[in-house]
Amino acid sequence: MSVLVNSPSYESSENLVSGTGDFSPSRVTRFEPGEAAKEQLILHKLGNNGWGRWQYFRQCFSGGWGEGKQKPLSPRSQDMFFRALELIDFPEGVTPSLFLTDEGFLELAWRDTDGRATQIEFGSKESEIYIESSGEEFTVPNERLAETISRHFAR
Amino acid sequence: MPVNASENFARAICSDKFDPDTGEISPSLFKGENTSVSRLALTPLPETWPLFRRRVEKPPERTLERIGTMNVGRLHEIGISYQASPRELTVEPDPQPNYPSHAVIPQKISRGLANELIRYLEVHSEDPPCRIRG
Repeated sequence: MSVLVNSPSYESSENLVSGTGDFSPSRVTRFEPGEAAKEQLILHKLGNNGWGRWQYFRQCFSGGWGEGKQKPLSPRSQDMFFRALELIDFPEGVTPSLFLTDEGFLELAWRDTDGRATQIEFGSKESEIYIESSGEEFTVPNERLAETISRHFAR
Repeated sequence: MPVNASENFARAICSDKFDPDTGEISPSLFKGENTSVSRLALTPLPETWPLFRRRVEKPPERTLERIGTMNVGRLHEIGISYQASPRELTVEPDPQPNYPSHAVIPQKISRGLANELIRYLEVHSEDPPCRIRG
């Protein structure tokens, strides 16, 4: 059996990321430990739409985007988003929406059974919560986010 | 000098701020300061679509989904009547090269007030305009 040592097909996988072709490295999805668990969690809590939007943001907004002042998707924001998602119990029949802010933060929004808005923006150090039904709008340090989520949004 | 209260302005609503499955618009469309808008008196709505597309669809996967419009006087009314924290909102001209209709809402807008503005925003698709909530 012969092995083609110099075959380009077997060159370092680094080439796949640094790019000798015309694709952008920012569009490459890197699979990390725990990826499958994250995918399962987001599918379970947000459904196909939420999963699709998360993939869209991480694949298309991890580099420069918009008119210039917008920032790439923040890894810290994603971490907080997943921690919160584990704890939140959405009202039955509700379809949450996922957005990306110009600061690169994920923002989760849904409406209660009366159509009133609830929103959480996951910042890198603190998160912002808005609950229309109680007229509350406040920020909470990320180290206290789990406790706040449990108090307001877990059954 | 602020833009006259009789004028209308347009704000681009892109795919990162609009969920087509739920029809929801993110309040971060208006939250913060120096919000970019375009003056419809200088660039009418039909011409605003291609203008916004050239400026905001970067990368190409980021798409212009809707355009929100509002009267400047209405913006001011909503700001001063926002009970939690009334605010004088204005639109200030900020012309740029090849974009003379560019303007900004310079004031810092809270999430609650941004929600209020979205409630009264007239949302246009390329089909006839519709009001989604409120």
